[in-house]
Amino acid sequence: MKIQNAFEVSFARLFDERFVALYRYLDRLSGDPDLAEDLAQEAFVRLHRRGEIPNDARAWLVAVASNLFRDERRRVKRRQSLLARQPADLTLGMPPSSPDDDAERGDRKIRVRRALDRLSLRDREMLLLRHEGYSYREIASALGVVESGVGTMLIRATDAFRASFNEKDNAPD
Amino acid sequence: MHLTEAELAALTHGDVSAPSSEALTHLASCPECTARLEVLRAADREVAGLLRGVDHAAPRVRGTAFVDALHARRRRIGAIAAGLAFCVAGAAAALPNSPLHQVLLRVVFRTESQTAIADRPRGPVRPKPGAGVAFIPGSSLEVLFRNPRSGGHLRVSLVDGPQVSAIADGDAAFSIHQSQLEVNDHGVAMSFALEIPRSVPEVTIRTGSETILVKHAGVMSRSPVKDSTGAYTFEF
Repeated sequence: MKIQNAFEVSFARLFDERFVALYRYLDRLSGDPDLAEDLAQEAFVRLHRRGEIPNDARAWLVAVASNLFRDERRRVKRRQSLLARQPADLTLGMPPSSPDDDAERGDRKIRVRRALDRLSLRDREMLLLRHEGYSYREIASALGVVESGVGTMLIRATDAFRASFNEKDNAPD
Repeated sequence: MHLTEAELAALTHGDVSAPSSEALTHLASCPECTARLEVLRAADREVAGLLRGVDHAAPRVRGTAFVDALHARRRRIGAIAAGLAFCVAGAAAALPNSPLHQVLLRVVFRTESQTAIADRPRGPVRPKPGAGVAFIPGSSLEVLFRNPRSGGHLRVSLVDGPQVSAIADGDAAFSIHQSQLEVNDHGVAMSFALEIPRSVPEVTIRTGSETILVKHAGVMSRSPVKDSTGAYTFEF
């Protein structure tokens, strides 16, 4: 099928430019590649449904994707509290792992994942957006914080991440 | 006056909105601030390296393919909605003595002789189990009846609407795979009414391995016999 109009040409171009970055951000944020793919795709579905490209499309997409992730996280927490079966500290970012998975992952990878999951959601989002190349303005817009505070918050998030990564109890089991 | 944390952060992260020219001038002459900046940059580089370690391979999808998939999904949802509407109508039609039931019986079995209809016992119409499906096809359509039992028949009408519809007088199963409609009568002889939009240029109807109707480039390449209502009827 041929793409029909100027919007869809722009949309397809934006998809080619931004999908992988959005996926990577969500993958790092959640630790779940399937969820990351679903959410990145859903963000683009919503953009397509919108019918026009927003002025700041990068920030728009990442704001939508972040909201989708927060909604998903809330849903998971609700399910956990209803079922009361899951360990209290289980987060969306740490899907149950099998011995095979553990064997495949390096110690470092596990420690990075744990350190990320221990950060507050705000710190995690901020750090990951920064490392995906988003500007202070885009980060402020996506997370609803003041742009002038982004730099300082990023330094705090970086310190928190490194401290968590280097904690003794973050050693692999 | 040393640089603030916000100024050092902006320099670390390459965000050009915050650092002023005074800040840059100060940095050039202040070893303490230069050292603090270097520590922040090293931490930033370390974090970047660590984060790369948890990445999974990203799916490779082209934007044009994604747009195509969105359109296809939209069409499928439309077809499902139409199918649901058709099923609701079918359920209503199955109710004994319902007007829709009566109408459908007349439409589906229009080929039966008036005498046969007149000879039917009077009284409440016996409800028949029935099934149907409706969907909007693409540019081609293949209908496959898997091993239909003799005794049943198929009545095919070309219609002006956009929608393919198939209805059985028994509990047949319908499945739609892209441009193919597959019908399974579960080994029970039954009759089918099939409506196909005239606008579909490529149509093939098969019963098992036998092709009974072919429409190619908008023209019937086989010449099935039309009945008095303009429909094509095939005995299984």
